[in-house]
Amino acid sequence: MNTPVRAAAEKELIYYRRMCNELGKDLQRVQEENERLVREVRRYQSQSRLDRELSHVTGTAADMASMATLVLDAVIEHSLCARAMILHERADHAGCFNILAAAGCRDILVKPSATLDAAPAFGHSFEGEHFPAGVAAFFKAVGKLIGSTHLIWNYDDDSGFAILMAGALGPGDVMFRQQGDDLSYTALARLVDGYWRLQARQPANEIPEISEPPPCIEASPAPSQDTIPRLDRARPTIREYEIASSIAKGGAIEQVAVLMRDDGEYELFVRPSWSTGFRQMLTFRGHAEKVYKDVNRLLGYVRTACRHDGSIVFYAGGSKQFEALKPAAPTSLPDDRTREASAYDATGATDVPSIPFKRSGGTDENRS
Amino acid sequence: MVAFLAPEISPKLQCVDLLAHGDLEAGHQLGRLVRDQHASDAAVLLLYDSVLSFQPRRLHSAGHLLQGFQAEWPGAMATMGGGLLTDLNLTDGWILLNGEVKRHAALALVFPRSVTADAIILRAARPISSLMRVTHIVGAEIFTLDGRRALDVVEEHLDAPLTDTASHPSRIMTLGLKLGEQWESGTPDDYVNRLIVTADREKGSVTLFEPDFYEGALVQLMQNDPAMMLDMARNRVAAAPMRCEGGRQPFLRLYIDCAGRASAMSGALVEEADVVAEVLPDDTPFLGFYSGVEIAPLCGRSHPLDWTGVLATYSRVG
Repeated sequence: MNTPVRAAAEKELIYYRRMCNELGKDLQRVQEENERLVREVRRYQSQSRLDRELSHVTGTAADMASMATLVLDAVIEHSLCARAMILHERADHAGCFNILAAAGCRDILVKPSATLDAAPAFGHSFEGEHFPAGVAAFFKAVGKLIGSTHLIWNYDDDSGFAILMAGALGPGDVMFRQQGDDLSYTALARLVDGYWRLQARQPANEIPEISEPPPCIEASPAPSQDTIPRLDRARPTIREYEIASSIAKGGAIEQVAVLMRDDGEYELFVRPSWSTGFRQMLTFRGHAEKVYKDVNRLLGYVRTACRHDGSIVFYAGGSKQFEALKPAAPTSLPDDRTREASAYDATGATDVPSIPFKRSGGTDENRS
Repeated sequence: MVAFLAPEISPKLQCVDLLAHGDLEAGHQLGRLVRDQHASDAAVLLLYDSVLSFQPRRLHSAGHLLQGFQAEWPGAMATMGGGLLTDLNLTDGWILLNGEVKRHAALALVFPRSVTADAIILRAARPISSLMRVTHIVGAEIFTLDGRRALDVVEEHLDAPLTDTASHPSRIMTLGLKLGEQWESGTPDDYVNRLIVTADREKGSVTLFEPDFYEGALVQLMQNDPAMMLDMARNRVAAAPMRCEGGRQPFLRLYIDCAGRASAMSGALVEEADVVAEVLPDDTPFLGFYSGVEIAPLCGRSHPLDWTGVLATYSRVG
């Protein structure tokens, strides 16, 4: 090949090599954008799956120990972390945390408790970089506790519960970093909900034997699509602990009605044998009405917690029956938590005992 | 041996647990064990512990194991198999055998001659660079490409550093070596891809999953494409050998699936293994596992593969 032709061929080769590399970069950019979008979708999917699973766990666990273990199993499965712990701050000793459960820690010695001063509500540490930056001693302590420097910490100051997760070195760590903060928050929120649920049931557990049944009101006819349900105006709302304790004393849930809201969610009303009409279910803490997105979960709650095996009537939004029950909603009766509690006290039922832990206020319990 | 109840399809098992002393020698020993007891045309499934150590990250080499195995036993040219892992982070691997947990072990399941094995190899990577020549390589560590520091050359093609400060890849990349005619148009099937498992910023090197690339080889940077991975699973698995085809009776489908293809790693919205399970053509018993390296015949000889799914169909003749 003569020199000018060879030079031209080499130029052409360089041109095509450069073009090939540029096309490769373009392909990568498109793919990275696609991956970013997929990651977002996966993040929501993972969070949703974890939330559903934990909702089931915290709604059915019999005690904190079994709940904490099941919560950790779900967290490890969904966040691809290597180790996780659930801690609880002692009420009588700020900064001293008991370790309720640990998973993935077979190769380290798990202490029963640890002192963690200046615990932030949220923090993470990766490769020596901490957030928040001003609590290096805290990260050193939790790093030692869980045996890793790749960790995420989430802490509910009100209840004293905390979750600590450690990532693993390797490809799975990328997922942990991307999703660990959201998933740890979800897990902690659900754990605290479950804790309050168990606390709310305590009055029923503390009753030594079935005493006199609560006064039964004359039963009204079974509701149908046509009859207008009657609200118990004096006590328009109810919480799970009242149902549990009254059932233990011989009461029963006689009728159940569900309002189908226009936004696709369901509100639950029950007519107890000790009330004059329907009462709306509130969440464990009574901050809001209990709302379901999933009818199967609602059904499970009615069959297990309310022990009602009879029919359930669904009222469509806007119907007369719907309007007859709607005024029970806490939003329309802003102070009914207090009224409901005092009315309940008047029946002579056992009230919620003083709770030895701090009160929670920061988590959303109304996501069934 | 739960899956194999009939003696005419039950494999005989040969095992060595010397991988920690050298993968090549272990391969030779396994080959000698098999050679002494089996015909050279028997179908064989090779399984081995992938992890030599977690920190520092060192893996057993399927390439060396296979090289030793093939040197001793001609039947190993059509080996299928995979490297076993306990998790996606490559932290450990072990084999439960005869009531014992064995580490650094390799085992060969050698089937009777009445059993045949077919493989479908599913790919997921396409080239994103021009050809680059390997100019300095030691084992699995490539020091230079086209005479320049390999890490610099690779990162020229990326918008972000290849590895984090702990030398772990921040993204999954492979180098592909094209088999067959170099300058013909190629498809993903023509490439043997090697995952970049780590890099050394000081030395400027990148380390591959297997040490089978060589000086002078022309390689390309390859990128995993989840859409292509799912399409290939849909289109190819349906073509798996079916019951009674050619007088054969499939009795087991085994899917050896690279752990990197799991949706958590690949970024696919659906599990590729689910797609495979859905499009299988019949109800032949189906079993699968995530692997570190897959082993399957390519161009007449078994190779260790990265980032592939190998669907093996075992059939009884007659």
